[in-house]
Amino acid sequence: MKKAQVEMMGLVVVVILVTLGLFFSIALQPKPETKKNVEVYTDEKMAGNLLITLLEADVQGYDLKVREVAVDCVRSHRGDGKYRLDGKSSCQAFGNITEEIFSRTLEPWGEDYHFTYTYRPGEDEDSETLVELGETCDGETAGAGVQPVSLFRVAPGRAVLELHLCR
Amino acid sequence: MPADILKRGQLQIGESIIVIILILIILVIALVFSARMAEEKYKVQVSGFQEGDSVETAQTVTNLFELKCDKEGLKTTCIDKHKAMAFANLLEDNETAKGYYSQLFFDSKVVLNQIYPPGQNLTLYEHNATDQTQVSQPFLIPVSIHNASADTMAFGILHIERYHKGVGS
Repeated sequence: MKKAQVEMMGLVVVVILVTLGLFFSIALQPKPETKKNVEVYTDEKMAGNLLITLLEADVQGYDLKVREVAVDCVRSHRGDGKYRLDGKSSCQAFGNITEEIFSRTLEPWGEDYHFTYTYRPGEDEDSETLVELGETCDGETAGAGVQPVSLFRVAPGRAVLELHLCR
Repeated sequence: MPADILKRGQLQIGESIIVIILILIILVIALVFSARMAEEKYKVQVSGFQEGDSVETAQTVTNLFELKCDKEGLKTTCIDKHKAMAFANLLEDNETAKGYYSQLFFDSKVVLNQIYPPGQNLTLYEHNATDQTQVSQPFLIPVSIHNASADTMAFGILHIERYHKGVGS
């Protein structure tokens, strides 16, 4: 009788340990990362707004918009660039301006990013990267902005700015 | 009463006590876990509401005629530099104006940073920013800053922080 009672006690202890184990496994389970509405809004909008606002800004010391420098970058890539800014080609100048803006915004905010300015001369041709800043995002992208640059009457094809904010 | 019956009875009572104590321990642990989870959920909800408040303030600021620029055909959010400077000066000197705008912006701080070409940082509004115990995540909006007299456009960031009293304070 006494032995049976001791066995029952052992069983109770086992049940308790299993219950405790279940509690801990539920409590310590990593929660799936759900993005809050505000975060979704911020990430989606931020990248796009940065690009569009960048293109509207004036170039320091010149009567030119950043958009015009970006367009001339495609032109100079095709061998007939109009502008040289402080001795630099349009693509170099555009890269420097973009880098300066990101170094005062995304970098202090602790955001890793990957920025590209690509030009695709035709449907059958591959895209060429004219400007690239930052490293390709390793994991998931938190937000991406895509901003086409109009090349109307300048060059055939399509030029696109892309900014990926890494998670 | 025979001694062996007494001993068996005592042993049974001891077992029951141990089982009750163990059940109580499990209940306490379950309560602690559920309370912590509820607290976490509550914190996430509160933080969501606070960030929603920042977005609301951001929308009010960017759509305010006292700050918006009049340039046509712009796709960006645009702030007029001169209007912004006048607005900041007005709120610095005029308590009536400050009282009026505090109904729109509540306890918050709104700063306009000119990033490119590099320029000044302008505090447009600041109310009760120091005596609050909690700040929500700053809301940042890229804006074009238009200088109407020189007809130039700069790249800027509108930095909006909404202040909330800490829970329980």
